[in-house]
Amino acid sequence: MQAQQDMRILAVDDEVIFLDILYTLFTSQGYQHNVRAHSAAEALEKLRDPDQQFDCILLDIQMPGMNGIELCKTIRGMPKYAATPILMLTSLSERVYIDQAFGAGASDYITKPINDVELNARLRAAFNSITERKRIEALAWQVQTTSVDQVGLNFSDPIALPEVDDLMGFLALQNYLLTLGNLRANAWSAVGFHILGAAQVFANAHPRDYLDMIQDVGISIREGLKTRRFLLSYSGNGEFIALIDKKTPIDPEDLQDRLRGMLEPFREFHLAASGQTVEICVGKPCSNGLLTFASPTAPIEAALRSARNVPIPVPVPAAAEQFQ
Amino acid sequence: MNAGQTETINQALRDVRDRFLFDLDQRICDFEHLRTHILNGPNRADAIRAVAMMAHKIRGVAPTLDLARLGELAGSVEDLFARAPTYPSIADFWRGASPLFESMLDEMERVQPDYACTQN
Repeated sequence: MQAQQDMRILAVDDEVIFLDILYTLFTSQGYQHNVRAHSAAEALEKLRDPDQQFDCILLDIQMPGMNGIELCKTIRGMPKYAATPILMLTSLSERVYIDQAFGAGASDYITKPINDVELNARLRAAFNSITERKRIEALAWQVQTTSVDQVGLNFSDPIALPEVDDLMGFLALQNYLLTLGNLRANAWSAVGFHILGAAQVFANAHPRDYLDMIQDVGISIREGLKTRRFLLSYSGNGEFIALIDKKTPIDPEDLQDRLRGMLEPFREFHLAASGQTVEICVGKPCSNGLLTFASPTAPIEAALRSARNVPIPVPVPAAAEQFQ
Repeated sequence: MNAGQTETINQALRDVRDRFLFDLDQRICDFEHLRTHILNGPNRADAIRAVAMMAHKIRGVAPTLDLARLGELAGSVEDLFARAPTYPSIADFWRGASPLFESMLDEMERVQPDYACTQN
């Protein structure tokens, strides 16, 4: 796929007229490879067809039988569509389903009634995410097979971490907050996790060891948050961001201590791989006020800043103990 | 997008609109059938849910087809019928909901082209 208009799109909706509208808008904007399905069952048949491959999937939420959210979850369980952009087609009356849709793995949403400008903007975003994902997948493959100098991996890349279950794409996490808007996003706190020493490991270790280290941290964070309702994403630069339900708040210092304890068994491995150990810093929970003009995604940056500003732990020198 | 492309889209959407209007009779019949069920049928709650679902579909397409008023009415019907379980009884609900339901049907009939006239 070279250009945005080369995307192979599957649109699923039980309303024939809506599919006609989509088809009209697709073809008028140059998208020639668009396929329609009138039900979840028909969509799954096409998605399971080994001779067909889709780059982007549009799903209506309310359909008889299996609805769009269930279908989204089923599609995400299919390895070849695990990371394909899935855009949910929603009306304003269905905002209550948006949480469920993102939870089921949706990447973005388009509001009905639809217009050509919004459709094209969302498809452009989907195309950009496909391009970025392909670059990152290629990097991940190179990481396994080549040396540091030959890999174009950047420290800032929000690279995929396949061993961390249910990790949300960074773009999808941002889309989710934008979808919620400030009022509903206020139910979540953003908490940043900054890995001290990650840049040094990146510079000195083999990319595979660097990725292993990031995954160790990701798995530990998941474990540390398991009693909470949360969404977790890797944002690049050795940093994670979690959205944590305010009904199940965290104490950052307590969580930081527990995470450092969880990473203890990995210390020797990290030291051997890069001559460097890492520490995790947990920032303060951040959220926008209810009445604000700030972007709903602003708490993400604030949370990461907070994590970067956590004081660096200084080991107590043995000699100091003599004075106590 | 230039003026020519915009006109191409508009023409294509007019074709879709014609198909929508041509099939509107069937949707009106379906709504009337569901009204009978709400008033007398054995599964009245199911019929109310079906009305909400059908109205939801119209709400999603009508504004794009330049049928804004129909889209608004369908949206109001969907929202009201989705709240039906909060009413003390279906009879209470229907007393309040039927005028809006009838307005939507009236609007559906109003926007239908008079095919008999156009053929003459």
